[in-house]
Amino acid sequence: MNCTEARQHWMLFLDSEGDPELHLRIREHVGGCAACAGWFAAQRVIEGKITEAVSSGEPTPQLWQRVMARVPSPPSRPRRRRWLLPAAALSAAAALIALAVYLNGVRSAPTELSRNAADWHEQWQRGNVRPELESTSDHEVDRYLKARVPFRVHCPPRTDVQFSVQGAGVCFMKDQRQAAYIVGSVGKSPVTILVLDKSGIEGFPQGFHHRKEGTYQVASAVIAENVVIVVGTATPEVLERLLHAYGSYHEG
Amino acid sequence: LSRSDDKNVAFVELLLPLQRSLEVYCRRMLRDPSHVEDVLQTAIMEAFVRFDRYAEGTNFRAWMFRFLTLEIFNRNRKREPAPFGDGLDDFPGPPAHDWPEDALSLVLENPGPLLEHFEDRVVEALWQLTTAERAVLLLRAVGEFSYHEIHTILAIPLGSVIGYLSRSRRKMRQALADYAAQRGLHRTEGPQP
Repeated sequence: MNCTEARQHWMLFLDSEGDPELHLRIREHVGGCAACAGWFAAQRVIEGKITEAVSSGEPTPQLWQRVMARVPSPPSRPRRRRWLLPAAALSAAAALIALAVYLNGVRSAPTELSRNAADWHEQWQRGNVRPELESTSDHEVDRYLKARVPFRVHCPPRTDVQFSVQGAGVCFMKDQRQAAYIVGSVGKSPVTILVLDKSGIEGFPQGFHHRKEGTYQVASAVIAENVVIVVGTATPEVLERLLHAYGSYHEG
Repeated sequence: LSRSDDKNVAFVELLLPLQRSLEVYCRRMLRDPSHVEDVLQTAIMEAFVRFDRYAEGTNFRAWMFRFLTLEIFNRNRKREPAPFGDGLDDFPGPPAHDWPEDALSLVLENPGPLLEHFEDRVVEALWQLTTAERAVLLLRAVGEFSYHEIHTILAIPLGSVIGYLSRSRRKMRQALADYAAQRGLHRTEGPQP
């Protein structure tokens, strides 16, 4: 494949569409051609900027209140520990469906938040849901989240407590507030990090907190402008180290 | 819970996470912004009424976006020609890559001034696209749909999806390069003002 042929298919390549064989050939060419490597990187930047600009915007709570008011309301249900779509609705097309998460009872934090975070972690572990962005690059996850939430958020770098990121996404709470989640592992132990805007949560106590939710350990803390919750089967000490690592990451 | 209650619950649970993308898509697509709420309302009610036909576990997001897209096309009809009635449905050849390289590379070297009003400029450029180009571009960017999903939502051939996407991207880049030129962010051929 030469430069012209490779560039002719840039769109399929960047969109991860088309024949895998084509991708392989383009990757081979770009790997050995500095000019094309730069050219493809430039396309990615431009498209990223355009995508970011056209897809920016937040839902208007008042508008949705009016719209949803006209949809026949579901009756109030007995309290259920669910803030995810039913697993069955996600399993067949999990890769295609945006992660649909909403939290119940945010104001009863931290208990409810810990429980919800543990539920989400379990669904992810069972393979019932997949993150919006699947990536092992902390930089990519960082950029992805920063572009999608209005509050401060970041991905802990790999060097901190051997955290390896696997993906991330954004979820909406019932009151329209956003939360960011990051999934990955510390060593071989899978963890979920949930990050929320502190100002959206009333009465979250200062300091570090531990809870046990079923088989999972949950550690949480108010860190700068965020409430950060870490869930996994690792020991509380490991999860707390990850929280410290999150807090010690300085943004420029 | 009755079957009807279950239906309501399931529909709302599937819909809630899509609110942001549905609203952003609607705002970027609709010629008359005062219709956003009404269009969302109509599309959602249409989908709700037909929710019995939705197969659980399939792609609700694409299914919902199809209702919204049809309603937007319907609402824009007075101001724009029919999106796919322009004889452009055939695959228009491989995506062009003859971008204004100099302009873009210079912009990339110094993106600060351009990014200052970048969003406004991009949104402005969106309105220079045809309805079909805008729909395909936004379904990709806002809805993050695959080509195949866009083909399903718009009911046009896969080749047309690629063609419209290619053209919309080329036009957007051209608009940005023009903007960069206006602001003196890159060299232009010929005499300088």
